[in-house]
Amino acid sequence: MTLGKEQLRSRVSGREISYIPQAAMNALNPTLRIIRFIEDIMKEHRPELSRKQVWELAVERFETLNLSARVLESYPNELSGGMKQRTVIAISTILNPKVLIADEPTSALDVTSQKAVIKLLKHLLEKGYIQSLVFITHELPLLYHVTDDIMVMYAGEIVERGTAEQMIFDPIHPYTKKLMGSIIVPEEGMRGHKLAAIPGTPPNLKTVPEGCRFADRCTYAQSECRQGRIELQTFQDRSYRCIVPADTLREWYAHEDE
Amino acid sequence: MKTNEVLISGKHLTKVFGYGKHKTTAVDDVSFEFHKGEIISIVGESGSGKTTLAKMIMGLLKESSGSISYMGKPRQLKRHADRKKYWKHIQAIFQDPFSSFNQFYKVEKLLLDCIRLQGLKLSKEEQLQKMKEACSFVNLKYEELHNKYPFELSGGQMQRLMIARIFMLHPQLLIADEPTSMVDACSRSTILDMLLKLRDENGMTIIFITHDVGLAYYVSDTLYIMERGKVVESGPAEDVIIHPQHPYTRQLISDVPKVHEAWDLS
Repeated sequence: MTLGKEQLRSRVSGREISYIPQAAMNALNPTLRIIRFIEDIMKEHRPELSRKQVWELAVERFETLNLSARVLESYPNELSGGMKQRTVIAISTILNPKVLIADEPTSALDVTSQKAVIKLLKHLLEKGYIQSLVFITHELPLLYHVTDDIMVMYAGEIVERGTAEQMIFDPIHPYTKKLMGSIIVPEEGMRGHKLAAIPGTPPNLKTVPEGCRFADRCTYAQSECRQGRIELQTFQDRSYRCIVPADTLREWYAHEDE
Repeated sequence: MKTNEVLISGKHLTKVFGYGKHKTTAVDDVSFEFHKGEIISIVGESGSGKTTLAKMIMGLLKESSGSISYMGKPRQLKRHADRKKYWKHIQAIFQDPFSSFNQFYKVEKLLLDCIRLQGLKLSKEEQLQKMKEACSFVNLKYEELHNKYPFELSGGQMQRLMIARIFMLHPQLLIADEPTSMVDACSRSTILDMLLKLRDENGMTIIFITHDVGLAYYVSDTLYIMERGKVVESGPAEDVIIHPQHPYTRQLISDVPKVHEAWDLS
């Protein structure tokens, strides 16, 4: 399907695909009342609605998200961090998009507000306001409870894909393995556990090295890793980007844990 | 590494903002005792007053009532010379590395200022040596960086440069205000490793200000849980997390997503 820029904006963005930007704290124009953002969206996508109808629609939606109608009359600086986050979610989903892309929606929030936001997103899914959710984050324990599938990216490439359960407890790619080893949770036995740190820094994407992009930081790197292009391999129902077979990698990890 | 020598203590600290009807008590009657070489975490949700408390310890805000004593003596911050002396002992790492640096100073100047603050008289070569040493401690290359401005660095690089400053200054007390909330999980382990190494080498006291209960549990000896300006629970990390007494602490711990337990979303 090819669409012009203008068609993409009016037909797909907002209605089909919507986006919650990173740092919702700064996502709202500080000079506008919240209702103006919604009126702006409606002017483009539902021009048949009157101002009063828009207001009623907004109040109804905001109430399902535990925001009072007073919020609509406020300026962004009058709201707290958690309220701003919920407001941004409400504005992003007001047209009931099919796909919602949430870019780090909880990174700047404390655990209590974080839980509220996750509850809200799940609630939107259950009520059918949104049909699928793409969640972008670096908080791994959170992902485990929110998503069905996890995809790990490194230096501009997808390095592994699998279900949440598989990825957390049985990672295949060396990078995923290290990443899962760096999870910190307040559970018994955590303090004795040594955190996995990856030496070095990610490669500069202006000059991508040949072969595996993770090779320089990988403890298992061989000379073959630095040649040609490493393709995504399929193993059972998962895929990963490494030349070593999955079973061999698992054996290595088992030795490492001893 | 915790010793029994008290480094800094506060008695009945209170900070009130505003007056009359709009009076908000950000920190309410907080007392604490931090020992040499101890790692303390102050945990609480947004707006619980943890940053205000940290700012009072740093001497950036004046306490409304109560007192702080440093190394057994009441803290003196009236004169500029006093403050300068105090800040040789107390340093901080802030949450947002992008706004921690003076944007008009190059990295070289920033590191030279650390040497000046210590009042050291060094030759050019010794200065260079010291700056290179600090940069290599945090895996940065001094040769690549010294002629750059802060905005030319990435977030991770800035945060590590901040730690390089700490490495040069060897403060007695480090206040880390959400040092890892803007970085990914793996860089977080690297940053924590560096800070713990500094503590082990210099016997530095570290105060972590965080809302990440997992992190606080992992790194610290002692935890202080804050709710609406009050410390509701404190004690050794093991006790507070595994056997929480106060309902707020229990709620805080249950709000954290865990890997081996179900997360109650109802």
